[in-house]
Amino acid sequence: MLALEGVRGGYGKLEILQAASLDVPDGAIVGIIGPNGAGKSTLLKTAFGYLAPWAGRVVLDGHEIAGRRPDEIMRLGVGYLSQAGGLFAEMTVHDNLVLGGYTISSAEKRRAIEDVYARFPLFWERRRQLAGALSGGEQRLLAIARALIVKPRLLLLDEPSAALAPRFIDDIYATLVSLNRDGLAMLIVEQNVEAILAVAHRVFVLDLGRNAFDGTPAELRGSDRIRRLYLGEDGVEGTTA
Amino acid sequence: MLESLLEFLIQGVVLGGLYALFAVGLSLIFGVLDVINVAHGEFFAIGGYLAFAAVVLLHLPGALGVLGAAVGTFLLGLAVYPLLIAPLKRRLGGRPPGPLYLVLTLGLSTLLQSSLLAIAGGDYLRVPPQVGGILDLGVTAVSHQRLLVLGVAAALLTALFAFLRWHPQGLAVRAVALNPDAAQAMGINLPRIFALTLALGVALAGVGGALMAPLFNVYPAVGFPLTIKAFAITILGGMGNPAGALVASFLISVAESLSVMVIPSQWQNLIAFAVMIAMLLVRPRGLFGRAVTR
Amino acid sequence: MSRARLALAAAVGLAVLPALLPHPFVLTIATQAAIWALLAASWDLLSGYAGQISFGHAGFFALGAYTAAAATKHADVSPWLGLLLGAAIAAAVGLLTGFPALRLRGHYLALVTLGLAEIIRLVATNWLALTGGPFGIHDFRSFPGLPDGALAHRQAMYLLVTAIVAISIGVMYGVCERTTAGQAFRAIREDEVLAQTLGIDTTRYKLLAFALSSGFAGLAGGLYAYYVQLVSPVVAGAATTSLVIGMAVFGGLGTLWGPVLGALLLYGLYEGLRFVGVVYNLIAVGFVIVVFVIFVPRGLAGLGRSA
Repeated sequence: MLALEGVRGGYGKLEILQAASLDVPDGAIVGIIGPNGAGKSTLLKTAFGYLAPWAGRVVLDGHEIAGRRPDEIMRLGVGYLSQAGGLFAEMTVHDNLVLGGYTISSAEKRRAIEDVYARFPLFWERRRQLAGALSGGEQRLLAIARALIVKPRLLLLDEPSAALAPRFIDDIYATLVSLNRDGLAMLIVEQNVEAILAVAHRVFVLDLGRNAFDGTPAELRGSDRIRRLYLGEDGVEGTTA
Repeated sequence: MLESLLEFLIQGVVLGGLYALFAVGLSLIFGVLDVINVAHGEFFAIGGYLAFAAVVLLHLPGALGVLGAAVGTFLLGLAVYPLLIAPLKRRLGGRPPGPLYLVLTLGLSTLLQSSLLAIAGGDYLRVPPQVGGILDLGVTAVSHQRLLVLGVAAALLTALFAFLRWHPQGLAVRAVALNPDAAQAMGINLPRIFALTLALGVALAGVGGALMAPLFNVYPAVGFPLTIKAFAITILGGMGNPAGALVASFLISVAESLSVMVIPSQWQNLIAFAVMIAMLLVRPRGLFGRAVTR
Repeated sequence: MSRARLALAAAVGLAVLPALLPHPFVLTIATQAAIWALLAASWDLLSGYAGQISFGHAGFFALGAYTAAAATKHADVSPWLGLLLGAAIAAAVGLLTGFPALRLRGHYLALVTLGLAEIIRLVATNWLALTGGPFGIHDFRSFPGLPDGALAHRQAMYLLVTAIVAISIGVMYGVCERTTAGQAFRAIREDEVLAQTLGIDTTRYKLLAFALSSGFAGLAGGLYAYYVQLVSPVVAGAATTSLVIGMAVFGGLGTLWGPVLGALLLYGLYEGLRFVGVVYNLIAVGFVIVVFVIFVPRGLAGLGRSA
């Protein structure tokens, strides 16, 4: 449903992506891994319109979306979770959920928020507290729940496991897998290679702004070269930050 | 002694209504757009001229003059973001703007002020009060016009804060102020919120100008001193914090009114700046503010 | 280097030219343009080079003008000494402003300096005994020993003012381009934290920039006082600051010669447009600021460089 073809881009004059391509089939979990500075987050930001690509195509459902604003892309059914989750820490849990439903009718919004509260009673109990007062794992969960209010078809996640204790990482990934079973496609940037290889249908390895490998997790594990280079088994590159 | 204290206190509170109408909008614009609107006072002046045009030239009722000022300054304000600020932002890319927004709105201020001079001339124009009469409070008398300023300010600011607290668009405005990237991921159209916030902020000043026109007279530079004073108020209240600006407006106006009891009245305009500089030296975040050194 | 010499020769030639023109109006405009050039250059030293945005240069200018005028009027101080006094007082106040500025950046510094200028304007308006209130100070003597004839006086005055302005701008240019202080100013502008880690004493250099800039602004004020022979609170108004910043933006920030050129051209435009209509000149200033900030951020100097 989402495809990037030969995307070049970066910040200001700094070129980070040189020729990056990938595609996310309907309903798939696709992982992006690679060393620090490879351009993984930049790729995700370019796909969601925070950065305009300098060259190449970004195609969603057969339509070119390069150059559109993030809010326009969001309205096409794409959710985005930044590394920190992007919660409004100084607003209440409830207001965060209300903002999650900014683009839908108030009746739909009310129903969707009730669903969130039914599924996560914790958020109902703490709905009047500031989102910033939640624990790191709870914040990540709230960010995911908020992104789901508009029922997106594709979720872009920038390191959902970052700065979380292992126990919470398992929780988050369990949640993501169950969402994927309901048909939600995902493009996940990860430093935590084990976590993503366990769930992804397909993995892209990015290095120096270019595709270095793509295939299934099994194929990745089967390639000695890639293992040595990117899974850090010879200590060339760290796998986790 | 007590009587005059009470009198000055009442006058100060009435003046505070005007300051608040002006400074809250300025603070809101800064909080959301990160732009200090040096041209804020010119929208106050335009509000006054629109009231003059409606009431004196077109013989419309005073209330329509105020409404016209609100709508007129709102529409003008809507154009400022897409015509001036967005092009500069685009050209800057991600680079820090430094003083450029300040210089830009300073230029807009000069442009608007001199355009008013070209269109309306430099004469002091009189606008009849929207309401006549005087309320006798015993210790002091307050004209109904001044009470109207206070009443309208209270009503509009209550509506504004309710909007920001509960309305989905108001939440969106706050979300943009807190985290513009995350707000966009919610589907919020950033340029639209920017344009809307700017228009809303300057429309508050426009209403203030229309209501103050009968008390101040109207001339092209009428708003500029108010802009400078509002900077002092917003620094006291914490920049980008509209609620802080509200409180600071009344602190400054009451301090100014009461100061007349101790210092000659021509010096009372100094108080706001003295407070501002003291504040910046002692507690630069303001009373309720965000961090400033960034 | 030869291009620089050529430019210098051209500048000297152009500077002398109005003195030969026997037209009082041209001389008046040229003299005042030179004073504005000094003020714009002083603003650029602080705001363009060191990146400390001042919205209060009208205040420093007024301090210099009022100090000079009041000293000569009330104490019969020689105008030469008056000039120095004005510059010294302005530099001292600038230095004092520099201290809070050490902790403030960008927006806040601009607002503080704007507030300072407003305080100076209010004091000038209300301290009747010293400043003459709204009507200002007038009827005080100017530089001694200038020729008496109306035209000859103007010509001599023009040469005197231009010489002082040129020397001042030369000193500022030398500091900014030829000394470690100039490098420190630019380092502070680009990245203050980095400048500190490079061992630059940012406190010292910021204060130096404040003192130098406000001192030269005060000197421009003194020249204005002795030339125009009237100092009123209007000079401390925000319109003065607006005009100066407009000149600097027009010419190109952080180049010193850009703001000087901007001042000469914009002031010429400003005065020239008086013939079209007295209100259009300020519209033009506002328009130039808005258009240049958005579309030509490096000003005329930048156009020259990229061409």
